[in-house]
Formats: sequence, structure tokens, C-alpha cells
Amino acid sequence: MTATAGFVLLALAMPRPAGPAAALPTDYEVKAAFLYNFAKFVRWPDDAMGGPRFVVAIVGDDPFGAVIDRVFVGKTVLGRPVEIRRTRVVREAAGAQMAFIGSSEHARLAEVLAALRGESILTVGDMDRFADGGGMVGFRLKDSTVRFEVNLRELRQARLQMSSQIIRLAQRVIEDGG
Amino acid sequence: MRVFEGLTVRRKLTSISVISSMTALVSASLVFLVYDATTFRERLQSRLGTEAQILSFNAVTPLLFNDSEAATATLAGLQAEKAVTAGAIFRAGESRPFAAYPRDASSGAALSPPSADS
Repeated sequence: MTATAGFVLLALAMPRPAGPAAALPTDYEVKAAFLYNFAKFVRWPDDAMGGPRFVVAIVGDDPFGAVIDRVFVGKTVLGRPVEIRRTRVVREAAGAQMAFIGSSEHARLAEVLAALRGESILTVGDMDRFADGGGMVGFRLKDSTVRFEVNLRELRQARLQMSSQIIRLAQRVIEDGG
Repeated sequence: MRVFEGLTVRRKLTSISVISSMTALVSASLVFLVYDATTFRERLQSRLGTEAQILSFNAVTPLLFNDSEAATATLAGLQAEKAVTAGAIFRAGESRPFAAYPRDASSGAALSPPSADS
């Protein structure tokens, strides 16, 4: 009996990130889809999940527009319907599970992040050096594809547990002291 | 039996015990060989199934995050499995592989997406 087996073909019925096959998804369509995917691979402490909704706050300028509503519409995260809360006032992000910090907040990023500290809010941003500046997940472009870096220290401080399945995809992982 | 003629009783007894042990060993080996040969396919199949399952689990996030580099690295684990000549991950409905692993240059060419019902 020969030891040649056939091919292992893995057909994973994954939906494409967004839109019809004709047009490539834009960066923000991809980023919005990533936000949804992050939510599936992060564990929040029980006391942070008290509300009936999973709240995604967008602090500052909203680069997504309707795209993010389309990604989250009709979907649930951890069994809860999703609410997109757009705000310019950081305090209004209190009670959210995830916060996207718009580039408009670049100058006062430390202040914004400090306001969210102490709560278990996954902070995501796409400004330059977001993860270095104390954010948890920073988007960056690599060869025009969307990638991200992860700041484990901040995640740990917020008592958020990110799946190793995601951490291994990060372009860079910032650990203690890094 | 003629072969035993002229042997002492002691020798005869030794020969008998050697021959009977040999017979037992040979027949046991034969049974094992036949068993091995008949179950080989089945065991290979189940092993490959397990490996494909592990791979597919590890391919979920690369697919979700559109990271074909990570998916390729995941597939490269197939190197350890000599029985696999090639492997690929396809997005549903796409004909170009999202990630591929050919054991050697020629084996990758034969990959085609699985049919919708598989």
C-alpha cells in the first residue's frame, strides 16, 4: 500500500469581508469587519458586560460612516445586539465594550485613553503609533493591507483577554515595558 | 518423522519446542501484517482528518483577518506529514487559493477548490 494520500482541501465557508465580489473592500470596510471580529475573540470580565447591548463607541471623527452600521447590523456580539455610539465627549463612551478612537483625537490621545482607563473597554484606533501611545489595538497598513498591533499591557490592565489566535496575527505585540 | 531419527530424546524435545515457538511467531507476525495492511488506509484517513481539523481551526482567524501569510504558515505545518503532497485553503466561491502548501514544486499545480457540497 503506498503512502500517498490525496490532498487536504479545506473549504471554510467564510463570508468575504464585505460587499459584492466585483469591488475590493475599502480600508474602512475591512477595519469595520475587523472590529466585529475582534469582538468575537476578546473576553470581557463579567462586570463589564452588565448592559443589554454591546456598545461600540466611536470617539471623535467617525471615519467609517455607514460602513460600520452595515457590518454590525443584525449581528449580535456575545448574545447582545450591537449599538454604535458616536460621540465627541469621551465620558459618553463609559459603559461601552469597545471604543474606536478617531484620528481627530491624536493630539489628546493620552487624555482620552486616561478617561477610559479603569473600565474594560477595548480601545482601537488607526492613528500613527496608537498602540505605543497606550491604545490596545492599533491598525496599520502593510503593503496596502490592513494589519494591526496589539498592546498586551493595556489589555491586561483593562482585564481584557484576547485570544492567542488573534495575537499571533498581530504585526507587533507590545508587552510589559515595551 | 525421519528428521528426528538418531537424535537423543533431549535433542528431540528441544527441536520440538523450537519448531512450535517458530510456528507461533510466524503465524502471529502474519496476522499482524495482514491486520496492518488492511487497516492502514483507515488509520491514514483518520489521521489526515484529524490534522485537517486542527489546520482548519488554526485557519479561522487568518481567514477572518485576511492574513494569507499566517494561513500559509499554518499550512506549512503539513511538512511534518509525509503522506500529504499538497494542501490549500480556499475562500468559499473563489478559485484561487487563499493559501497553499506544496511539498515540492510540481505538487501544488494540481490543487483546485473543493466543490460547494463538500
